[in-house]
Amino acid sequence: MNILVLEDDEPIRRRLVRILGAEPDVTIIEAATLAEARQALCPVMPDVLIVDLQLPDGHAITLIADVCRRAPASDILVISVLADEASVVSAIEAGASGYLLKDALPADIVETVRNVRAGFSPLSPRIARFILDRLRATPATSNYSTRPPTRQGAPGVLTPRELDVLWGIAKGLKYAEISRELGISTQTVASHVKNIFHKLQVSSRSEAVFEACQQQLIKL
Amino acid sequence: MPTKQALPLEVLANLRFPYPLWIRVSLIVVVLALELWFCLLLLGIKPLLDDPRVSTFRVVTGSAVTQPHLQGRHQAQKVQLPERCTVQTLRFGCTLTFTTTYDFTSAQAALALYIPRYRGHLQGYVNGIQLLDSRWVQSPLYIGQSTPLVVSLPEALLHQGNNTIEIQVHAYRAVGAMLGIFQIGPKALLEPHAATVRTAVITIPLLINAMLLAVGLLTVILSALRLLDQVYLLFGVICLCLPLTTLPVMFISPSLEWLWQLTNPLRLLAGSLLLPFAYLFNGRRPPVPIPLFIMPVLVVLVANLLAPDSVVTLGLIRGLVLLGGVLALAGLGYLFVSAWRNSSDASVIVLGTVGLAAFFSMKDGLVLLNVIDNDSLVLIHHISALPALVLAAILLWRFSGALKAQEQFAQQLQRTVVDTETRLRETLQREREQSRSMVLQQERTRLMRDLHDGLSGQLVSIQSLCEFPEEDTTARIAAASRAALVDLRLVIASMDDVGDDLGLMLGSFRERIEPQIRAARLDMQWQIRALPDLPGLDPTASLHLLRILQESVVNAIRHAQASVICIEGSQSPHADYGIRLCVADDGHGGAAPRPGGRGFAHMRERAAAVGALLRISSDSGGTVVMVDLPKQLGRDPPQRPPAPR
Repeated sequence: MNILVLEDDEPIRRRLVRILGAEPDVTIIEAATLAEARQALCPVMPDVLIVDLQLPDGHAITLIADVCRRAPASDILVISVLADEASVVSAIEAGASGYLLKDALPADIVETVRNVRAGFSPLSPRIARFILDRLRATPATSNYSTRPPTRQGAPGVLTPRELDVLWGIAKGLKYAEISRELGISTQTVASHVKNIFHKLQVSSRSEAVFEACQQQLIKL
Repeated sequence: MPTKQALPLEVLANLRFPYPLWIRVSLIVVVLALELWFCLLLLGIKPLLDDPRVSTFRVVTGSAVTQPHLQGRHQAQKVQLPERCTVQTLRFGCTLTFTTTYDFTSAQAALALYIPRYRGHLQGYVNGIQLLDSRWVQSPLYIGQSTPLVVSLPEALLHQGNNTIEIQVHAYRAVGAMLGIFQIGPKALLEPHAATVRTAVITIPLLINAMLLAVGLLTVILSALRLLDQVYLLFGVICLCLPLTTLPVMFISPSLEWLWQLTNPLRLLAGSLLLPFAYLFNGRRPPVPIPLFIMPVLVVLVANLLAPDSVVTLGLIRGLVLLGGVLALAGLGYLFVSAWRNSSDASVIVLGTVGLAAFFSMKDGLVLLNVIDNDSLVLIHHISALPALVLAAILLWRFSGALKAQEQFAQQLQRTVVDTETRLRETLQREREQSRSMVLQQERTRLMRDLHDGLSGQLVSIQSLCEFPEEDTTARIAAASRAALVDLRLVIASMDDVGDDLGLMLGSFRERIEPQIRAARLDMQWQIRALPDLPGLDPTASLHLLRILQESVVNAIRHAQASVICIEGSQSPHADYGIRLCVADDGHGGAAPRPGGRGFAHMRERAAAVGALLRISSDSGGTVVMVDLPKQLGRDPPQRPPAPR
């Protein structure tokens, strides 16, 4: 498993490299800036990209979108100290699969990476709540409105089940607990979460198209 | 008795022109000068022509017959003109007959008979041949005095020497019959003179009547808009009465007796109402109710209706007319005296006008009584228009003044409303800004305090450890920095907008606390499902609760040597409380305030701050921290803590 760690703070980068490097099947590439990362990305696309968002030479969000487009099979995790929802969600919209807290326990870091690789998208209660808040803030669609309902960056329409799952996560429940509550399997919960992610990304992409149309960059 | 009051308006008599003194004085002088000029102009018109070519007949032979069928002709005798006869009963009237001789020599020019003043139906004969009947030529507009008569004396009718001139005048109303001095002279001289006199006695009074009608109607209409201000109504009625009395003169026919009976008393009405008007004009109430002043007129009308021709009626009418005259004089007198006392512009003009009118009225009276030169017109009707005109001007002035005042008031009100609105908006804006900055300030203070309570203490502790390193410094620094990060996350988590949903807040907490518990190799049981809403859950309360939970868990990790930590949320068994949060471990218990440790004290303070009930029980089975939350945060907690359950 190839992992690219893009983090400008050296102690944190070293800690991550040490923790992940201890795994037998992992190869690590380190990068401190966006330029280094792009260079490292050139020959081979890593399986997992662990990125800090704020870097000395810019914001990593374009890199995330780039990688996501060029290597859809790659998983991207955002590193964050405080997991502030807005930037994490924008990263998710750009194609990230989740985030890692910088001070997470080594075991948790490894588990998160492996989960992501296995197809589970980690979604924290606060992120879930942030998404729910944004859903509520989205104005109702009207026949007279030319603006798509996803204008505010809220995900496209979620199914009631997906909303149930989102609420469960927001209340701090684990997938297993949610599956018990809703009477569905853990796998189903995970797939709901994946769908939520997918819708977030799709909505952000359609938003980008809308924005581009607005600025007349694209002609439909 | 409460009565409706008119709006407080300036008393008419106190009206003052809103101009500088010199303009006010000039205005008054101009008005009075115009009036005087008008009077003198009229006074200048003499009914008789003063010319040597004209013969004037002052003394004639005459007789008066009052009831011809009963008494026959009276003995003829020399009489001094003018001569009058009065009517005893309306049915018979009276007749004056005069004869005189005119000495005709030779005619240099066409001659004419000129009779400027008479009253009644006049017939003239020259040498026994009728030349004149006033009904042939008299204008129907008989107002106060008759139309001057001019009739040609054909030369064929006259003979050299004495010619007999006979004139008869028949009374046709209670006013009686009268003949004034008459003249014979060249027609070319007499006719233009008569035309001037006609203008003075016919045209001008007609114009005055028209004016009085207009003014009267106007003020009556104004009074309809100002029912409470009776002064307008009274004045309008007075103004209308004067011209209406002359209405029947236009129809010289005895068959219109009823019209006479209706209109004649109007003069009386006008006179009677003058006194209450004078009171109201001076802003005072009349001494007796105004309807009483209408009584004389009603009496006359009723008497005319019941016994139109009786001596009693005539006497009654004469008495009441006298009363009306007295009342009118009293009214004028009151106006005059009060105007004398006042010094306002209106008063000065009223004073001058009434004085002028009184002077000419007295002169008229003396003329009628033959005390002074009787070769004058009767000017009472002309002059009486002056006070009416002046008073009307004052009333209209005040009316428009009231309108102006109202307009100004409305404008002022509008300005005030706009000003107040602007001020209110500014105040509101200021208050909003103030409250916003206050909220910001409070939030800042809270954040400072929260950071100071936890984070800064930890950072200072780390700094101290770095300055004086010991054996276990690294581990302690790691612990302290971890604690600092935990606390920072708590502070941030407390600022989450979770609405009133405690579940959302606890969801975030689980995400934070679970790695800490697992790091200590303990198991966590999370037993929180659907919880009711907790109104009033704000950042301050959130942070207190989060810190209580954090402290409880940390205590359990550090001191209890437990294997499982259970975090539970349920309904509190106490009726006064809502949710119960519970952190329990399976450790050895013995949790007690440690010397120097302020953990429990802090937890109690925090619980008290949100009105929650905190109980800590610790025994060999483990330690349980129970927090019973009030049903609503931010309110006074229940008075007495319930017994532990």
